[in-house]
Amino acid sequence: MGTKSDYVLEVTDLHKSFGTVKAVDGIGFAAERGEVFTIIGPNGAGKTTTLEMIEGLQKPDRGSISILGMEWGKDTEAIKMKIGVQPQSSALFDLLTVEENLDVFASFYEKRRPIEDIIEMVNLSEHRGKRVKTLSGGQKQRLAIGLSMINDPELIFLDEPTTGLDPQARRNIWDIVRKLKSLGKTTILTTHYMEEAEQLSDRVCIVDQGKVIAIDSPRALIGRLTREREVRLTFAGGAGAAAAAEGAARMGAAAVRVEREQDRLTIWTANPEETLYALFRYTHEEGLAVEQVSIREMSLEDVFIAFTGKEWRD
Amino acid sequence: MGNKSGIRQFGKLFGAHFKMTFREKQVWFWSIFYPVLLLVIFLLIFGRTGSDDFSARIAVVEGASTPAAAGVKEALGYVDVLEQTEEKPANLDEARQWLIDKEVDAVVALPEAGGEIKLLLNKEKQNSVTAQAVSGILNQLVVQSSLAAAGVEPQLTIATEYVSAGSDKLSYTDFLMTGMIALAISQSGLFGMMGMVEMRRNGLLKRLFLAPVDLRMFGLSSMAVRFLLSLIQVALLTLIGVLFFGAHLNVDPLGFALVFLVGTLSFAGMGFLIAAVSKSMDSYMGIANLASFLMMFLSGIFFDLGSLPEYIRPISHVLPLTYFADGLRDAMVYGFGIGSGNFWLNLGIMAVWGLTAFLIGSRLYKWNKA
Repeated sequence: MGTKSDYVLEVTDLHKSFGTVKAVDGIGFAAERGEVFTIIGPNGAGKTTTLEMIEGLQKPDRGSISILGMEWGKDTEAIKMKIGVQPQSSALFDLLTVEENLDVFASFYEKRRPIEDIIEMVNLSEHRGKRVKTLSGGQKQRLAIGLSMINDPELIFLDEPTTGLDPQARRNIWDIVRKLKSLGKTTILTTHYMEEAEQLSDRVCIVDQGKVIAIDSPRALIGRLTREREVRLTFAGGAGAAAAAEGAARMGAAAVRVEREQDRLTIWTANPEETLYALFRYTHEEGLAVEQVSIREMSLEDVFIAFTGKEWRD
Repeated sequence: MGNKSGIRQFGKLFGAHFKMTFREKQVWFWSIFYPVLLLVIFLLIFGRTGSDDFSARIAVVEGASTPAAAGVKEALGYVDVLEQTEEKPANLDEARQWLIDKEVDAVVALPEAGGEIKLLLNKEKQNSVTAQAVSGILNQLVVQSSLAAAGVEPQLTIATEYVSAGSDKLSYTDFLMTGMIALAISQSGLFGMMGMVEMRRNGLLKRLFLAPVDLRMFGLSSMAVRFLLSLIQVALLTLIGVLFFGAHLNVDPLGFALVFLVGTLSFAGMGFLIAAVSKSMDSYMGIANLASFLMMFLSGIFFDLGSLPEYIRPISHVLPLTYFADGLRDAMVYGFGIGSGNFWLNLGIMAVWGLTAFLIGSRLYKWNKA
């Protein structure tokens, strides 16, 4: 964590209700300069409402938002000049070309990044003269991100930039997010995809039912989970070999739980290295052939399940 | 926001609106091709029924050369609207056959020796305007010739004078051309705001709110393109009317400019109201079609309001298109300017419609909803 002046965005105790529904119920966080800060959560968790309040589209019932030390209402025009937003729906002028879209949006700002730069950065050089109508979903999304960078902003909001895109198009967008980071920009990202959050984020903020569940780096969040890892082994010698190995595995101190199903053995262990070392020594001595070994990686999905007790659905 | 950046924004937004408007095939069809097509079709079908253009083709069967017969024959030659056949029929039977074959509208048979002049008309057409007119003209000729032959001066004559409200007689061509201009501009206004529904649906409006865009510039540049489109409509329809159909123009520039300005704005305001109450493109099109269809037939675009049934006319008298069409006719054909009383009535009623629609629209339009 840096000093207070390093915060580009500070959100404190945000509340917003629609009728009797509390969409946002006390959300607060702060984003540091230069980081990719990702808000994840299931549909209806309050992500979009939170983002729209930060972007100035909705007024919070309670709480405060400070963007680069400025506030909505007091410094509305100045904030708009300094931030870039890619909203969830790729909102573009359909009958204008890629270049013309950038040109129109550029005219709104005092500070402008050259259109050439942006077209290259979002990799649309070949499509610069094409009308938006004829672009693919991924190309439109890249243009929408391009538009959010037209004023060379310090703080960029990307609201589910990869939703509905195929894996290749998604990776293209990841590249853009990484480029933004290398330029020292601060990016606030929301996503549906845990893998994406894990790949891109410096820090992740998990939101559920209008509240912040946890904020930390993906690695630290996973580290907070119980220490046990899931190790699976399959034996060439069939159920007999597996049963023999099961006995050996139970002897190990690190193993918390051991299960066997036919020739397959599943071990939950606090120390996979130690458990596997002991087990392989045993199978080596007994001449048992191990067919497959795997250690399941813990992911943000496990973090979400552990923190909310809910199943994660994309 | 500085003035300079305001001008830059206006320029770029004008360019964007211009491209968006003229790259849309629908605009070309509905705003330009469709009104031109309507004008041409209506003028081709109905443009020739005016009394100016009446003419009938007749065959004259010669009889004995009495002075009275010669007088009638000569007189027939002076009547412009009666066109005699080049070739004279040999006898009454041949002439009768021509009539049956509809090669001529009427046959005039001069008497062999004294007696009556025969007028032969096609029975199927006995009630037609041609039959009435030819028999009327002939009757008059006979009376005049008889009087002349008897050396009597008629004691009563009729002096005909055409009365019209303006300096020129308003022909159907002028009437329809100005009506079509009003219709075309009104349609562009009523249908032209569908972009406001689309922009709300696809989130572009929201996107603009996220940028430091000057929304006044956005609206102004959009209106400027609308005026440009309306001007193109006026120019095109006027040119076609004048060049191909002989429409008459007597334009009062100031009067025209004001009617044009208020009319274009007013119908754009009504289009905006439709956009405000429509949740989808389909409902927008439905409402706009209904409004334009109603007005098209009840506002005296194709035919004079006088031809409408009595009980419908009160509706016509509240519709804005009635006053837009009247205003354009006054300013383009009669040369009436701001001095005429109807001018301010036309302008006022359009302004009330436009302003009311705009104010209700801006209350109802959900700027912030995706």
